[in-house]
Amino acid sequence: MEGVFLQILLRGVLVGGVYALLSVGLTLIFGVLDIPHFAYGDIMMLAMYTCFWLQFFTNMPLFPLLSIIFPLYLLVGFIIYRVIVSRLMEKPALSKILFMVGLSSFLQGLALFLWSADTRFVKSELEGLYVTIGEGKISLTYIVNFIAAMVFFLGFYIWLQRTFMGKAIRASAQNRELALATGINIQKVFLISFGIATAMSAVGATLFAPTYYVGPFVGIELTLKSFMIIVLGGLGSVEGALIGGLIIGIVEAFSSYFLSSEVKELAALIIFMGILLFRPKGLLGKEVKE
Amino acid sequence: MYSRALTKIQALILIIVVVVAIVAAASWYATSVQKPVVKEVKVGVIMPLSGPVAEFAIHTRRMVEMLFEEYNAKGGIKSLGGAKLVPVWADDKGNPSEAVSEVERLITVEKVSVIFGAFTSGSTLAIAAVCEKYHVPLVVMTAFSEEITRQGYKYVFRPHVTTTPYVNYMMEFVIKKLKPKTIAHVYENSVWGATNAKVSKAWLEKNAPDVKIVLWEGYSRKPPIDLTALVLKIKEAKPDVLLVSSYLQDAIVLMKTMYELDCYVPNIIAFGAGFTDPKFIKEVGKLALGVFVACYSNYDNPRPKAQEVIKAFYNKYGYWPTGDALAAAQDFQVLVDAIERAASPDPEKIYEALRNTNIPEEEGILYPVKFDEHGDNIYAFSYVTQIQLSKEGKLEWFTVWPEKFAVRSITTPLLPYEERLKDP
Amino acid sequence: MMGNKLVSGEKNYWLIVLVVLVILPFVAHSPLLHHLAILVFLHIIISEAWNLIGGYAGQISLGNAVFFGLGAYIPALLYLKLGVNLWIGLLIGIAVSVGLSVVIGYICFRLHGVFFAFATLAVAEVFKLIFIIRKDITQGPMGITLPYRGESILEMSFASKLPYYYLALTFSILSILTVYCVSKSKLGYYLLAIREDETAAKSIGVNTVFVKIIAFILSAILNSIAGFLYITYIRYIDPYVAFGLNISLIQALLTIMGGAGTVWGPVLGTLVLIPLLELFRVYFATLSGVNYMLHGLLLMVIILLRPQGIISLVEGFKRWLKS
Repeated sequence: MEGVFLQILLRGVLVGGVYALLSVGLTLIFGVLDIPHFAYGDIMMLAMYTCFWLQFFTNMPLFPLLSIIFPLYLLVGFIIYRVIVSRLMEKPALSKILFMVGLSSFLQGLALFLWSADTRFVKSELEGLYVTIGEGKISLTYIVNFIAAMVFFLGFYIWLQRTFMGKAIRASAQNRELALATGINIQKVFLISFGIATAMSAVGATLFAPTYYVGPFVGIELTLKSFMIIVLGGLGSVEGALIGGLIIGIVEAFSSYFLSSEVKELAALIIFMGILLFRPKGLLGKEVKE
Repeated sequence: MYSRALTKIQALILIIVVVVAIVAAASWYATSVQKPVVKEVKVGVIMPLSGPVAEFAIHTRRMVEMLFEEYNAKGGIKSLGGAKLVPVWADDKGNPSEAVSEVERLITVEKVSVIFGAFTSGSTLAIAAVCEKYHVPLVVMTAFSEEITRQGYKYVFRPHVTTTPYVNYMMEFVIKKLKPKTIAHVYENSVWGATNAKVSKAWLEKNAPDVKIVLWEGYSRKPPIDLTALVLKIKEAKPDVLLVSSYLQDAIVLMKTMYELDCYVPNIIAFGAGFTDPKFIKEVGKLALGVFVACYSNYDNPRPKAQEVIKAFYNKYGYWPTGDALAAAQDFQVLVDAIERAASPDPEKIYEALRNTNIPEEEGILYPVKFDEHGDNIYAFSYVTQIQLSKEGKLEWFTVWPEKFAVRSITTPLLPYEERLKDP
Repeated sequence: MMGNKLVSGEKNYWLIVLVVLVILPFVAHSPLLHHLAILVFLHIIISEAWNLIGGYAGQISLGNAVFFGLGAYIPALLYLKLGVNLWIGLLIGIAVSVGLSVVIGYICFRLHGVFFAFATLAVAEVFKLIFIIRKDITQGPMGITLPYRGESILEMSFASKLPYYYLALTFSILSILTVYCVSKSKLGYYLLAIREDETAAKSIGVNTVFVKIIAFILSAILNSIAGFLYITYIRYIDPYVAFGLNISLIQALLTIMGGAGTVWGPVLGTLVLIPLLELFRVYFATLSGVNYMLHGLLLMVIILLRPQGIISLVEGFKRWLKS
């Protein structure tokens, strides 16, 4: 029986790592820009569709895809910030939420209109290759994607710690007024943060896609999942996103062994509500802004 | 301000009243104008054209498209002087709520004379109530579950086989030819899978009480379909025969997961659906070798009328039609037969004609047709096929039951995985 | 604040509108028109419901679908399984919704802003999943159908749309009146105070949790009634529609578009958007997704350009009329 246990645990960790990358962008946006980015998952959905279509026309394997997705969605993030989000920054919280909800609906409709409700699948070139662990096999895709996710995550972390812009971003997340007082160009910080966050989420979505599916309504599920992860880990905390991602990944793996998929989702939601109510700042978060 | 003949407010009210009056008059007119000579009979065709089931429904869709085209090409509705049989397509996206609102639209806006649909049991069950309410006949397309015809509706007709006779034929095969001591069933949890589970379990309890039921479990088809837990349970339960009710994607995932987790069962038999799709064999390859697949009909069906349709499909699309598509062909035959006899686009007359359907043995595509009080065909039955290697070394379905229609003998049990995947 | 008044001098005009609405089905025979009207009335009910909690109290609830779904499922299940009369079932459904709204409100109103929004969303998802999982009671993802067994008032089954039309019209008028009464009462005053600045309201002695829960209760009752009308009209529902994000979102959208925190705002929003969306769906059924794009675009535009909603345009127009 231990063989199965280990296999499930490993699965959970491997998926959890990708989850961490998926959600770290949202924690950055919350922490720095204070925007409830309801459409976060929908942009990830667009990234997944981008992968699908690129693969469809060029049969590109996953990793070269990443080298396109990252810069592309960096640009997309910049544009969305410049054109839309910057106008939103001074509005009350109510407006921010509703606007993002509107953006989310719009993107879903766009995807539905352009590409129909058919579910699509992104293929990993490692499809069909397995590594034997104990009594069972684990698809190589999970392992490689986990490693890639961790590489990106680590790179992002180092960037935040070592570079000037990274430090500026962290400072703005901690205390915006103080950061402004030190002469940081706050508009630039916002722009870069949003862009990087979008690019990170797009890469995460790409790595996640082969184990999931692509459809116009994937966005809501991903937004909810990301939100759960960062609330668990602590809003605004990058390390929290990693821990939150791993925990959620492991919890999901174990519950899908014992429970049907709906019960599994139910369990996750109840845990989420519990955290919101009893420890809203999560595991590693700072104070909760109202 | 008051020197104007009409104040602005009064002008506004006048405008509103005039607009409302025009709208009312226009809609009165539109609904009262009589139509002249009947040039066409509209059939509302509803099925998944997009969405999660569309990939699997496409073979049936192509069959239906082909049949409508052919029918009009051959002279249309002869009893109405060659009037066109016009399909009005609607997409339910595999979703019963969508199906209901689309059928409302087909009946109240498009004013179709009869509804043909909806492929999935879930949607068909939902739209049956709507058709009954408006007294518009529903000719069931492909959908399987007997729930559809057990609601007491008068306006629902299903020419192809339904759950109970299908299960009878299939389970007879399992017990007589495979002789299991233990049995399991995994099924997708919508109306279709759940009804299969219910009826097959009842059959076993009544007709083969000595066979031990070791696992009888439903799963969700919500993507991403993860059957790891289920397969581990199958592995533990060790059934002699595994019954499967799966659509396409889950069928593929199931076979692959069983291989990945090294879960071997001596016999697998599927309730058609996903296992009859050419994409299934394409995706799982040799893993499917030796799997039994019960179905509405296979393309080696020797009946002359069946062969006509099968060959026409092959000539047009380049591959053999699936069982679902052939069931839809049988449904279509009944539909046009009734319209011809009704000689009218009036839904009530078409209903009467459907009630009196009596298609003889030599005419029926899959079987003769006569309806019982539920709206099911008393002559319908089903087949069992097995996936074997053809003479050219390709994986195909071959009819193995009922014995009088068998083209090959069965091979049992399934080969272990290493042998199955070996190149011959 | 002008949108709040049913100005007495204009009473005649409202009477005319009412008369027109009452005789409309007899003058215009198109089933499509009746269907559109019924949908408009239904959406007026739920958007006024959201208006109370989201517009007046300023709490973005994304989980009102819970009460809608219960209002549909409870009467239907009691009827199908136990033969309980649908109307009695409705009363039971409303009672359950009220009870739940107190519980959910008490739990969730501790949270604010986006946390509250996500919490209510999570609650709706929880209900959706429960109704999918407990197949034995609710028939799970297959949903429930109210069969058609002939005309009957007790069974709420009619082939014609007219009875549904009048029922929906009545309840929509009721919902508008409810919001009107609230807006004129102390409750309305407190709600607006909470929306402006909850901490300030608390400091002058308003029991904010209690007030919010009252608004939530009213919101729940209206949503349940709408759910009941939905299933008796459409005759089919499944957990995805009953507890889905669509229902929760559209109530918010219609209210914001029309003008949150005003009596007529939601009505305006509904009158503008619902016929548009439904006609689009009927005539351009093949262009799927355009509905969502329209929703989303309108919401974004309104928020950016005219967050007070369409009603502010109407006010401007009224001023022009008087000039």
